[in-house]
Amino acid sequence: MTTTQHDLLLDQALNEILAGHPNGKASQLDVDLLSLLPLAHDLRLAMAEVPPPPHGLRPGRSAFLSAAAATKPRRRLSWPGLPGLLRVWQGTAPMIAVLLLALLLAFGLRNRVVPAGPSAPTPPVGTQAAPSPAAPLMIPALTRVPSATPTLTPTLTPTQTPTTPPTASPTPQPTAPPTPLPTATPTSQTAIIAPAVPSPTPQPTATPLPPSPTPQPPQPTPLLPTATPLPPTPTPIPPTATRVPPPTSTPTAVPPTPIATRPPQVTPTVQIDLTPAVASPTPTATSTPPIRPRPWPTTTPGLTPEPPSTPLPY
Amino acid sequence: MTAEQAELLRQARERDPAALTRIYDTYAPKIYAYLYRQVGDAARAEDLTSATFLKMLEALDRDQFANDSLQSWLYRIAYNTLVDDARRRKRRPVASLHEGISMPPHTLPERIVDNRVEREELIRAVHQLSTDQRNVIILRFGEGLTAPQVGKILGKSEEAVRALQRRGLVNLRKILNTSPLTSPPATIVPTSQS
Repeated sequence: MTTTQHDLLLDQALNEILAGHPNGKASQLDVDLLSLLPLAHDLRLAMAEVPPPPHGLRPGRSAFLSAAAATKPRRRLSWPGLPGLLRVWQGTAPMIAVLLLALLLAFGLRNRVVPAGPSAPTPPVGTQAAPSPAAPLMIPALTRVPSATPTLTPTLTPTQTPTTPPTASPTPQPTAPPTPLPTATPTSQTAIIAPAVPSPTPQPTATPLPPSPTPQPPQPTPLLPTATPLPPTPTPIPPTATRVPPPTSTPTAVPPTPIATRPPQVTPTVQIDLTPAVASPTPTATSTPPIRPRPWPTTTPGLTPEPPSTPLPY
Repeated sequence: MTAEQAELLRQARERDPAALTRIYDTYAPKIYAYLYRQVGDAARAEDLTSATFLKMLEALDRDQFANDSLQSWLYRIAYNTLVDDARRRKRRPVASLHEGISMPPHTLPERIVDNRVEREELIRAVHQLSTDQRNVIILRFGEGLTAPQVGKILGKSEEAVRALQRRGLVNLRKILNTSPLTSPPATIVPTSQS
């Protein structure tokens, strides 16, 4: 017999004792548990004695009733019925409708504006070619083109690196449409790449560097037509290239100075590279002042012809 | 809960004085007796009885008596009131004027023979049991409730109540040394009760 069964038998025996039949199920109990029954009987008798409350239960009852009168019954919240729901709906439906309409209009207009943006990016790009920051943001699709341009640039870079650097940055985007002068375009692109990476090394070769910054402005004019094939790609890179040449040109002055001067030269070049990276167009514009008239006006006309370019491109 | 009790509770929830008076007159003596058996102090039991019925008013609005009989529900409120009071006294010990008087010493020669002394000794032994065993013994033998009813009040299963009852009785016997018999190994679990 398990302990649980012992407990159950003892409980039944105790129930009989409490009910006034002390000798019932007790016969089935073990001797040890059987000895507990008299104790249970005494316990019942002992517990039956309870002294009356010192002050009686009346004071407690009056306090209980007065407290009940002081506290109002709390009404429980219940779910509203159909009439209540309809009433709420009539009150809130117009507001909900207006809100939904406003949301629809807001999102619908937003979606309409977004597609319209890409259609007209080219004109703003041409205009914004001068302010570099706007240009890269406006033409995400054009950025894909640059991948093709690097392939062209490596071949041409060695030859025209000195002359090209200035031209590439502003002109290419607008000029891209014009098909003519594929040869000139490589030069512009190469110029862009060459200054970007090996800016310090070509410096010696570009000993005529002082002129090199100046030529940058003149180049745009030829580039405008030439750059047309690769307009999008050069646009992002050119600004960097144009920036680099000016620093490089400054080091060119260094060669005459002793070798010891070179280390400081390198550091300035690095500083210059960083600064133009932020505001590429402005440095180019500053470098151009001697040749300003050419590049900027030429670029703008070059940009205008873009529409014809669309049919021409590869 | 019977339909009559449900109706009584509904009226009590509406603060009907007649229903409230009926509830109090019916159950207050039992609750007082239960609390007196628990604390062994008439005045404290009286205060706890009042507190129990005030808590019942608060609980009326919460409908916490859904599946209980009215009596079991009131016993549970009384038990919770007792536990709260014990916690409060534990934080701020109060020296009762009745301590030592409510349980008169049984060493008086003229009372040694009296059965009453033996009963008081028995009650004193009950108070030496663990809390759960004491609660079960008092509700079972003092209030005459069944094991399922005790389980509802204390939030325990019937089996747990029966086990606590057996172990309580065995421990009582050990305390009183009334029986030379030793309990079976399975039943000797003096101090490990929950």
